[in-house]
Amino acid sequence: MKYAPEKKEIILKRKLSELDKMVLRFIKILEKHVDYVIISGYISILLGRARATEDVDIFIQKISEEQFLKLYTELKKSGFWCINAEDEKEVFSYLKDNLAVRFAEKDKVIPNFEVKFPKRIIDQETFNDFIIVKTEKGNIKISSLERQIAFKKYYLKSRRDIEDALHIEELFKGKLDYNKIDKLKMVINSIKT
Amino acid sequence: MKKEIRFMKPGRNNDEDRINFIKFWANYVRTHPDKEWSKQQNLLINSQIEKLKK
Repeated sequence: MKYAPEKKEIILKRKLSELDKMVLRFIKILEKHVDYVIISGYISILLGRARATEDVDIFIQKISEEQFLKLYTELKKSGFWCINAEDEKEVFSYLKDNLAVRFAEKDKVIPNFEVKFPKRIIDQETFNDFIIVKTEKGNIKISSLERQIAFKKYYLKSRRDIEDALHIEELFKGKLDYNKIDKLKMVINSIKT
Repeated sequence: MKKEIRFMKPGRNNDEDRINFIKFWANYVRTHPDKEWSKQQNLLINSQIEKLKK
């Protein structure tokens, strides 16, 4: 694995897991319709953390209902279903209300893709603070490592989240911007109070 | 990529042992080829997906 912070990219020559292949299939459809960035637990798994997951969290930029309907139609045609509702207008209304909607492969519930609009400024900033992970079968856009660590350590804070952050910190020792993590920590603390 | 032979220090309790393992594994991922660690990790991930297919 080669991380080039200045290029905002990680070259990853891993053998892709079934989950990675599913993610690549999902985002291939997603990116045709909307800008996206993967956040949370799947990032540490993609980068080697020894654990499984039931969902992959994704921010998508706010889009119109018309744009969403096109995305929804293509997802359905490609074998995904929304586990929150069948009616596309209802699914979109959840997104508009800043609720997450989940898509899974047909006849399955997990693993699923938890898709949501960015709610706060700090969420929106993720679209400008990302890394492209280049795999042998396609690129995956993830939030920056520093943002990932800060959210896991100072916002989510469950045992699993702390461990995910530790994995990334250990893996990228000497390549992380701790000033950036501290700044994000301050913002996170301010939104929590 | 240099392959380091390292050993994991056992923890004095469950929490410390988990932390030590996470550090040990992260170091393994850092110092071994992607194909090598991912093959092992995929056993864990793919087995979960396989279970769901049944």
